[in-house]
Amino acid sequence: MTDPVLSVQGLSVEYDIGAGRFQAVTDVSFDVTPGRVVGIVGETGCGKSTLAKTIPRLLPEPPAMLTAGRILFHGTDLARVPKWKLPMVRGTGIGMIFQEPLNSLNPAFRIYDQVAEAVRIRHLRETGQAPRFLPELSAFDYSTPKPIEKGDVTKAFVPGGPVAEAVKRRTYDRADYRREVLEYLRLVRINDPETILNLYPHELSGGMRQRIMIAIALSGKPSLLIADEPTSALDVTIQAQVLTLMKELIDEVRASILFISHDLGVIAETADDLGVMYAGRLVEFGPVDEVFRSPRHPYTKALLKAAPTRYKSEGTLATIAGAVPNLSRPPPGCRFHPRCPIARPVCRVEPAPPLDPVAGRTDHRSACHFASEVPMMP
Amino acid sequence: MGASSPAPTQATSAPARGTRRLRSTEEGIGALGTFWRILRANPLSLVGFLLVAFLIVVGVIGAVAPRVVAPYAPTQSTGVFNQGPSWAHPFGTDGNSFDIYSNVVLAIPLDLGIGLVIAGSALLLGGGLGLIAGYWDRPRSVGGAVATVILRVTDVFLSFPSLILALAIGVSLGRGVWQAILAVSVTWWPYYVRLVRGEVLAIKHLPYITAARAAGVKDGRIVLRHVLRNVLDPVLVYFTLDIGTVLVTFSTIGFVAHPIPYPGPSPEWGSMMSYYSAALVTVHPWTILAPGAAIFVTVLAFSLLGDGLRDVLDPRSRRALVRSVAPTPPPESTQAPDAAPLESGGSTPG
Repeated sequence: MTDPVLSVQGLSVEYDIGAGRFQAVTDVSFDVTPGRVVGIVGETGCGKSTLAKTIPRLLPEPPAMLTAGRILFHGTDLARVPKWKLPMVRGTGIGMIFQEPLNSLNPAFRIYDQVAEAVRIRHLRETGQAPRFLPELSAFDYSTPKPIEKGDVTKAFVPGGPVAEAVKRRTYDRADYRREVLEYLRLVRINDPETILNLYPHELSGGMRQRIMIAIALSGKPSLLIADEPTSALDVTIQAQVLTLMKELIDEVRASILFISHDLGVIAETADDLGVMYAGRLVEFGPVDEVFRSPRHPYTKALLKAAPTRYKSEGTLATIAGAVPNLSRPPPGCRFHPRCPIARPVCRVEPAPPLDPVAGRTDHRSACHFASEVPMMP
Repeated sequence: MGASSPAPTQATSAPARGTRRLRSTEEGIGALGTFWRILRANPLSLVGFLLVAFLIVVGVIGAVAPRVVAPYAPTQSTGVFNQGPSWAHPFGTDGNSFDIYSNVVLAIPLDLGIGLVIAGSALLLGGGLGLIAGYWDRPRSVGGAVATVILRVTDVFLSFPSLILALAIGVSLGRGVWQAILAVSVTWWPYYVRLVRGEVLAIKHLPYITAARAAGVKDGRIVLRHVLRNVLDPVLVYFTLDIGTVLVTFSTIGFVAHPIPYPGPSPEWGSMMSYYSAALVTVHPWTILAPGAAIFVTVLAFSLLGDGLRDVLDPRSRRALVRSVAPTPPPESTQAPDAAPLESGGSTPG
């Protein structure tokens, strides 16, 4: 078993909201192993976006506070990195794709400038002209590519190729930047990159902008890509295109991906492992097929039942009774117990158990006292 | 390696598809051409632009070679006293037999310079403080404390009527061009702090700033590149309009406090009006009308230019304007669709 790219251990994040603390993320632990796509699902307000932004420490601190836990990225605890060093961690190593492709590109700059900025940051670090906090990582290695039809994508990056030469030269000239930016735009399947380079973000559609965002994230050659609801703001057709692109890229760039979504269908299509969050806690984690086939937490089961699966209506869509708890005053005991159909008195007083492997599996874990009873749940 | 460095623009590459054609058409125009087309699309801002350009040209010539634009020196006797406008003296002469036209024209470099220096220093000082107080303002942090200090000092200055404060400072500093400029400058920067800080607060939580942070861009670079570029448009518009306001304020101070002696070697419109208003206005109205009209035209020119700049600086309306003037074929390829921009542009200052 290889070392995980990312290992989140007991992470808790709180927001100081003046009149108390808002426990956005509580005691979350999971691993992202190399080459795996880990999906995190949960309903609005369950802390998935907070989790996504906490890993590269993008949350404004204060009001956000990391109250406990470790974020081990290739063995380095990002939770302990002083704030002034954070810019050296970000960009290379961890790439991020955001929810709002419409606003994630700076409206004042042409596409070229925005991609080139990311390329430049990586280039300066690769050549030692800018400080780098994390050691060089070998992810995003084009030198031993899997067979790819669009062969020219990789040509620029192979050892001895123009990009590698430019890195060796330590100086990029305008043509080098331009060539590399064009490569990344081609990598995200933009057909006419020379044209797109000179456009402003507002001249592009949402899907195109999200492709640009993906190109920017990849141009840092990250070993971990965090995608925070990358398709939620797009319409269904574009969503499908972007998902297809991401699935292809998963094979090509071989970065590990943390894929945050509220859409079970999207997760089912992309992820290898699935984590389910409820009220700031990770309640279930396991291989995506396993979790979908036999959920071992009542919330997961209810969530799967509530997902619309057919196009034909079969009466009222199933819902989960009750409402999401207020996280400034979470309920005592297990946070799901007020809505749980199999809750017992013990759930009201005792906190939920830690994420434990369910019977008979090592990779499927659930945080329920009665995980074994979940399959029998109505 | 870099032997076949591609041309910086795409205008040279063979246009094949619709998008290419569109791009190459636009880039063929060039930056100056685009600017010209935009100005032509708004006749009023074209008027403003031409007036400002004219004033600057005349001002530069007046400063370098006064005799080219002004037939007389400021305090040169013409031998004609209190004469109305004529071909020899377009704005007439005054009781000292000085040529008023020459005085009005020779005041252009000083008055324009004053407007630029005061508004410019306010822009740099206030804008810089506004960036700091906006971007690093976070509760319970060093930046937050610094921002609080900046903003409270700004409030102190804003709590005085700026004209009265400038007059008081000007009087205590004594006569002279630089004293007067300093007096107005001291009262002028707080508006820029407020303006810039407000704009920074509006955009610093936008996703593209977070995205830049996620990409590993350092705070200083984010502020100077991503934030500054996005607050710059409304601030530049305000700055342009503000030059006119500065001129009015400075003229008022010139009118009330005479910081610059008139008649003297360096005439200034406010002082001119003050001097002539003392006794001559009813008998010789042209003496005061000429500098007054000069102030009016200059302020109007900068206002019109500022309004035009607002359109020029917004990339969205820029493209729209260029298209409305020179209709180009709509993009045929699916690659460059005209997505409806969701967010509105920079807010209107002032």
